[in-house]
Amino acid sequence: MSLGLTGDQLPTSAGIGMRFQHHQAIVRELPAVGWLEVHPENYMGGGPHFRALETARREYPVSLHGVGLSLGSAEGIDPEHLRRWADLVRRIDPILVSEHLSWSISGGIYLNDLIPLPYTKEALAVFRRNLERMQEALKRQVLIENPSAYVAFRHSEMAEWEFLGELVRMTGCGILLDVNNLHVSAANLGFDPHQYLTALPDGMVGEIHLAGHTKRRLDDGSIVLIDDHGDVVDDPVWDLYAAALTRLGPVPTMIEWDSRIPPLDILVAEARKANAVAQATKANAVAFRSREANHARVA
Amino acid sequence: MPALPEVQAMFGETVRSPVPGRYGLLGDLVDRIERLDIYRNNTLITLGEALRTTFPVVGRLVGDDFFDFAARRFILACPPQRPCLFEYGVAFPDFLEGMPECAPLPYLGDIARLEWALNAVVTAPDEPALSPHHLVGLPEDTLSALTLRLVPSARYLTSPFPIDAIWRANQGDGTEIGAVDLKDGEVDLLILRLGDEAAMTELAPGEYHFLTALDGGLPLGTAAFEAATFDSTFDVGTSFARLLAAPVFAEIPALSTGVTVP
Repeated sequence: MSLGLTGDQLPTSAGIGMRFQHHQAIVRELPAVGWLEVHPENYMGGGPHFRALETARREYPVSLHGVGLSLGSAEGIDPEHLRRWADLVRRIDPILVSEHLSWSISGGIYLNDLIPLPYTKEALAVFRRNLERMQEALKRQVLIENPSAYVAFRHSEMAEWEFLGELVRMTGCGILLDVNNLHVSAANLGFDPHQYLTALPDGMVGEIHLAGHTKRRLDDGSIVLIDDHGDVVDDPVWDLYAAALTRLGPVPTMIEWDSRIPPLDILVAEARKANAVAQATKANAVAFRSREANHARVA
Repeated sequence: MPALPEVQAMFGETVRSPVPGRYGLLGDLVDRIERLDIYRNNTLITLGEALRTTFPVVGRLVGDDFFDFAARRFILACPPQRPCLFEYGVAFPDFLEGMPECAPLPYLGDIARLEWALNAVVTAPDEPALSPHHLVGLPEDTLSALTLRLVPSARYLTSPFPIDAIWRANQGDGTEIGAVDLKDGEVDLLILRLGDEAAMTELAPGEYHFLTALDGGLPLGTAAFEAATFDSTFDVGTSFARLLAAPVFAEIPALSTGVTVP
């Protein structure tokens, strides 16, 4: 399976998430961003929201980033929701399509959150089956995003990156690397994000997300990072982004902002900052890869 | 180790428990157990925000604290089954009416129904409407036998309370409109999408009767006869033209393609 587009169709400058609050401003001002991303769940009706998306699509590349299909659900995925997804893909012709390494539905109830899985062989089989159904229905390669997590299951049998790597190998899916999620999970669960980056399969990261998070002190005094997409990108996340680009090369990147949504120009400024980091990293990346190639030859 | 269906069922129960801190067997499966409450918070807060987006006037009428309380109870009792949250909350009006605390606001349920209708027409699927020119030249008996369907972007509502006035008094800062007199009594409303906005307009009693009869499947002639019997001031020509222009009725494909309707 392929991305369904050629390299020159992929945006080279950073995009932003389009939310209802910015519909008017985006179609009026046409801000200088490389592309737009939306949650398909918000555009599965008709009327002004869908029309705004159609209008924006005429001006920008658009990607569809699902939050509700619940690919990790043992009970399978909702065929009606998948049908509406496929319909939206047909009408919008997105440049990229993605969903999450998580689940949201149990017993037919939608919990409206992206809940982590135990990384077991059983969960891998479940996720594989659901993801294959999605890719078949959309006739697209789907990018799967690493989740932010507050807890980890003791009975996991592999690391998250191994789980993602297996999915890539078995289904041909790609990876959406959310650098903020990686930072949040690494801090909350106590693992090394750089080890995660090193372990990602080569050439399979098709998109990067950047977002803000909140630090909260729990009753026991411990600090937990909450992935609320409600702030500018934090400095350690920018550093990790630079490290990710050094490891991966250029990857289409976008800024997510979902709570306490600011004026559009703040998002545009964050996208510009991402471009600057990508620009500064380019030279390093070339040096890094040629060094790796040298190592490979030596080995 | 429990299988994935059990893990997910346990997680769902923890998230949807009436109080935080109920981890059950799930507590043995995760590290940092107390952080499970973050998931419960996320679910309750984000679904509460979705309800507040759909029911802002209910929020103004009952205040933030009571709205949060009612929303939480509703989310636990009637959680969403689908991820499109603009479709979540159809049962909230009935739920509010069933809460004893809401008894002092007898119109609250109908205000919630009005807000649900306004939300539903804005996000309704786009469907072609029946245009007056589709009906030009139809023989009288064909016209009379027509059955019509409403477009998804048009709804109607009746209430024993002046809910349109209450709703308007709770827009903006609400200072421009005086107090609403509940004795102004009942209102029949047509709610529809005009351009990008939801709009409401009052229907005469006969018009409301006509519209519900048509929506119930009665042919145009019968619906007009019943409406005129109910309300002697009802004039089918005027009202039908007004509803057609709104637009309220869905296109009849056989008419728009010029095929004769049997």
